[in-house]
Amino acid sequence: MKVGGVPNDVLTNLNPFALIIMIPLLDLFVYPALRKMRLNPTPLKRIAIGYFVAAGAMIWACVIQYYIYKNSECGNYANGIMADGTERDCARVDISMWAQSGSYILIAFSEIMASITSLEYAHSKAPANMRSMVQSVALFMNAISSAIGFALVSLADDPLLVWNYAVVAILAVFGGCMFWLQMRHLDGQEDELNMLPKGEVGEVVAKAKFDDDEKSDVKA
Amino acid sequence: MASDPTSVAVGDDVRAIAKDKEVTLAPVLSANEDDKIGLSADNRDPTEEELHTLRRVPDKIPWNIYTIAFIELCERFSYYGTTAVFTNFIQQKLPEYSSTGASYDIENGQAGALGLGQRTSFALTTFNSFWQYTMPLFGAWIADSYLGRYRTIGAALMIDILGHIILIIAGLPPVIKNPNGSLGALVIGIVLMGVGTGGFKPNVNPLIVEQLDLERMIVRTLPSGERVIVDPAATASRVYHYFYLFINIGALCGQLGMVYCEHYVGFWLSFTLPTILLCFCPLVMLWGRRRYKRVPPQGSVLGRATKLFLLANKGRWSINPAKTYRQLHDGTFWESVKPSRFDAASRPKWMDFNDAWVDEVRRGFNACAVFLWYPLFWLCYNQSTS
Repeated sequence: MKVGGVPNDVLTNLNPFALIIMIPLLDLFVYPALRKMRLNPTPLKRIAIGYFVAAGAMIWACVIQYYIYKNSECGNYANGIMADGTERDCARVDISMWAQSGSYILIAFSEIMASITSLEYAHSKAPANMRSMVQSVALFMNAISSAIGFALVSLADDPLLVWNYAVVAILAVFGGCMFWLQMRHLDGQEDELNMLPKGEVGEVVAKAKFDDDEKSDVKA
Repeated sequence: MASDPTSVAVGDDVRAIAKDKEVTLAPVLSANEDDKIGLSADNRDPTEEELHTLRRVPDKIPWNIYTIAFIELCERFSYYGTTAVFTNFIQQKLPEYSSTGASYDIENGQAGALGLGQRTSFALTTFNSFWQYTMPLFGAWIADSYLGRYRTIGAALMIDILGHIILIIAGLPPVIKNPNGSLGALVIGIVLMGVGTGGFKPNVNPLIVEQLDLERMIVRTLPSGERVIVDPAATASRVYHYFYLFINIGALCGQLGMVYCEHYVGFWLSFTLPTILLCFCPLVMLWGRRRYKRVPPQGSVLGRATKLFLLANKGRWSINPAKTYRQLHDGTFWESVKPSRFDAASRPKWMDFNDAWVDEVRRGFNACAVFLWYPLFWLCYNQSTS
């Protein structure tokens, strides 16, 4: 994320840092409290929350970026490389660390909701003998995302960064809505799906079936 | 107590009730037999009502789970540590005063090596992330069909280590002097690293949760007397939360540490430390050789699932899109291809599974559909981490 000359190092590492703090807090305090209240947010609801929180993070970044452009002495070229390619020394826009970290903390929370849940969902819903395959489909979505990112790269620099974050936020909201509309029918079946009996594959089954058929043929 | 149908009747109470009613029971009534006659509330399937009323808790987590989480930590350290310095390595020029690429000043200096510019570095790092997340399809297929998860992870780690060693070579000062040679080694390294990650990632995710003992929900009574449902889904959820925590510890240490190495020592060290960490993985895997539960591969399950899907689609497509939609969503899509729907003569030869597996495959396809919109979510994530 480009934030108008503020040192990037601390900020980009804020994401894993926020996760390392938030995961134990959620597991030790928030989830047990929710369970006591008999609230078990289903995986699909958590995933949907993940999309909207991620969109919230982008809106946050969008607002910060707008503020940077507004206050930078270089205007919409806050990173110091002007439209004609010349470099200018622009003073850093004074924004508190706290204001900027909001977006990273929201993204970390959205990861807990959507990314961790995707691991859970892929594991519990795959046929026992195809668990790796379903996990790999979940991972492949990252690859598609890099490809879309490649297409959006023309937005990812001054002076269009405000639009960049806005477009991504809109896409995430759209994705979240489409996801929920298409998948909500599975939400009520959560326990039922988790309790499906394990299927059997292989020659043993074929042989048993063959024998059954033989018998029924004889009867007929 | 007896008037309350939900109360807990343990062995002694049963005997007391039996005595009251002067009924003779079998001499020894073990906890096991209690289960069978449905009088004990412990270790049995929850009823429909209990599913809605009892608190759900995760099961205990066996400690060999943490060893797998440690493997993942090392692997992610190696991946994020290495890729954290890629952009500078490719894009920026070798500083005049340095042969290793180090800037000796993390605040104002600019570490660099190949000096190929922003365009090339962006293209290569994008290719890297695309490749890293495409290869899992291949690694998963190998594991599910032929090698099993444990062996696939082992083989993938070897390829991954080889890739990282080639990256070290690309970062050695005498090699950096020759940018074309270094770039060649870098690309080979990235390709091998992707193959390694592809065999590792989709298999370590299921392997860790497969170590859990509990497979179905059961009702247990806590020492406090509260009856709870011990839920495998809640347990897996907890395991994946801490798994993700370990991933991020690896990522954080890798990224921070290797950026410092790059600036103060040189790229060779930013590529060497991840390789050393990665070498812990096969050691822990060897330790777990007899300790990790393994699910054996069952031949070409992907082939069967694909054939099943194609067969289910058969006859449902028409030139009229509305008709196609109706026929695909009439609720019999998977029902119609269950083996029990066929007799011995009409059943295809490849259909050597039972109806339950078709239900599992249906659930798996639905799960994949759940992931379809994820690229739009990952877009947000990628914005904030790059």
